[in-house]
Amino acid sequence: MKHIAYAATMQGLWLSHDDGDSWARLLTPTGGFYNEARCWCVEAHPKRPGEVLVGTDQGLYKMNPAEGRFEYIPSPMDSLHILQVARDPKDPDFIVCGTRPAELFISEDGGESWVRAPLDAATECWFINTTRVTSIQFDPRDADVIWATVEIDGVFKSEDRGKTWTLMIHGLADNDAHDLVFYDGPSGRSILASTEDSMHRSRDNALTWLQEPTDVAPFVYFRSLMQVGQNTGVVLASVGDKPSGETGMVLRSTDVGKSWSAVDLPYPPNSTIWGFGAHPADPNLIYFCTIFGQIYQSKDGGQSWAKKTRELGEIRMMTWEPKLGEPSP
Amino acid sequence: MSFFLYKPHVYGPEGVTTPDVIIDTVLKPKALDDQLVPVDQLTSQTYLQAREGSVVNAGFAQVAAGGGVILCPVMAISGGQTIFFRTAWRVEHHLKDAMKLSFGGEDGYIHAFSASPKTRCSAIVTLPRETKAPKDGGALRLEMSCSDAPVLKAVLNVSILPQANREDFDGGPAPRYSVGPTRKPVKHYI
Repeated sequence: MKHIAYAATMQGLWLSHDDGDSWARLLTPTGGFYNEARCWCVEAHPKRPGEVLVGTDQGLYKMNPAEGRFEYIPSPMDSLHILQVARDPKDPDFIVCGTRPAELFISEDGGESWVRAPLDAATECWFINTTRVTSIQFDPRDADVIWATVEIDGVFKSEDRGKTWTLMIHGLADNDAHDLVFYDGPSGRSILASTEDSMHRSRDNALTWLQEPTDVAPFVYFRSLMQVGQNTGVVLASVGDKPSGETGMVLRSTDVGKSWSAVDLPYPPNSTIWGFGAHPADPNLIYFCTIFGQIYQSKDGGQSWAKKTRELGEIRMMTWEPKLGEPSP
Repeated sequence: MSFFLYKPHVYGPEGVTTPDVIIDTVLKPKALDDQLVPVDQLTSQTYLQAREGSVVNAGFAQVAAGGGVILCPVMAISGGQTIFFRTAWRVEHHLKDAMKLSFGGEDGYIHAFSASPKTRCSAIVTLPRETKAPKDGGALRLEMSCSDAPVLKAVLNVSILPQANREDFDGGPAPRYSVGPTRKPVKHYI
């Protein structure tokens, strides 16, 4: 599928129009934001190709595909680090952003106005000083439920689209939570949570968690999770020696994490794998990035990977979307 | 030396640029009080907390930058704080394009815009008067349009949306401390 790949780096947002082989930033004079802004997150919406959102240390931006530039979105987050941005898959105008310090800001009108949600996360942390949001997820089953993970504080759940939040950490061996995956099967729901100290599973919608060993990996620092396609039970997990780390690996499960296998990578990762990038237009086309700049691509749902030659310094997130004119899901 | 570091997104015929501009002098128009505005009262914070009943004046500022002038929406809140919006437009080396701006709002006020630059430095040229900040989060949208701007080649549409602080969901966060990874010694570095 012809697509545009995006990489949020500590030197701006990079784009690739040729299957991830070559990368470039938008033109400095007209790109819409400072080319060396620290970009923490990038989000492509499945229903609105071209409307890519980027969170930086200088504000929130939205791609203007017609002009080929990013437009600044005024928000209360200008002076914060915008680490996560998520849009409701069913309502693209409902935007949730997560920041450092760990706060959530919600817009229900496409970024026209914002409210600060009462996340009530820890405001200070002995271990990292300032807490931060590591993931935001819209529940695939219940449209009113939103999830967030906070480093270092745990897993948060809202059942009223962000108006109230509850900390769900009973049983977590480690509150340094990074990411979540949801699977709703015949025998009920299973949620996987990646933490600084191994994988966790909940079978009661996060009321309790159980730590799960993953013997196939010599490490316990689990970072990013993703499900290949919708509710397939095929899950990818990244695990590394530590953050930022010196190496990492991808684990793949076809049974929602009951068993894992290590995926062969053609070249050793130089640091922890920080994030996967996928799009529902083609669930088998997946990117991942190491935090120190390597880019890998899979076209078979994460079974095999090719490393791209280009490296990009420090990458925090990747995604892709079909080029305009390509079929959308 | 005090200054305000302004970080606009400047729209012009060729696209949008993102310079950093140092503003060290701001003059209000005569229609207000013709006074210098202390630069430490300037901000680009999108969200400010103002006293209930504050009077808000809105208009354009002309900012001398890049060998020409850029226009940016401004809100002046009674008490002194003045918001320079980060969205701005470049007007090439003269001001005539800015002369025919009109300004209206859903509050029922229609304000004529007449530019009369006071200084070659930055200056607020004209501000419509006595726009009240709405209570209880009522929206105030001010649409500004530039109907005759051959250089700018654009229509300026700006929405100013005062919003009551209480629109943040109730029960703001309470300070809480996290010890970090729990229940064991930690050997990693985050």
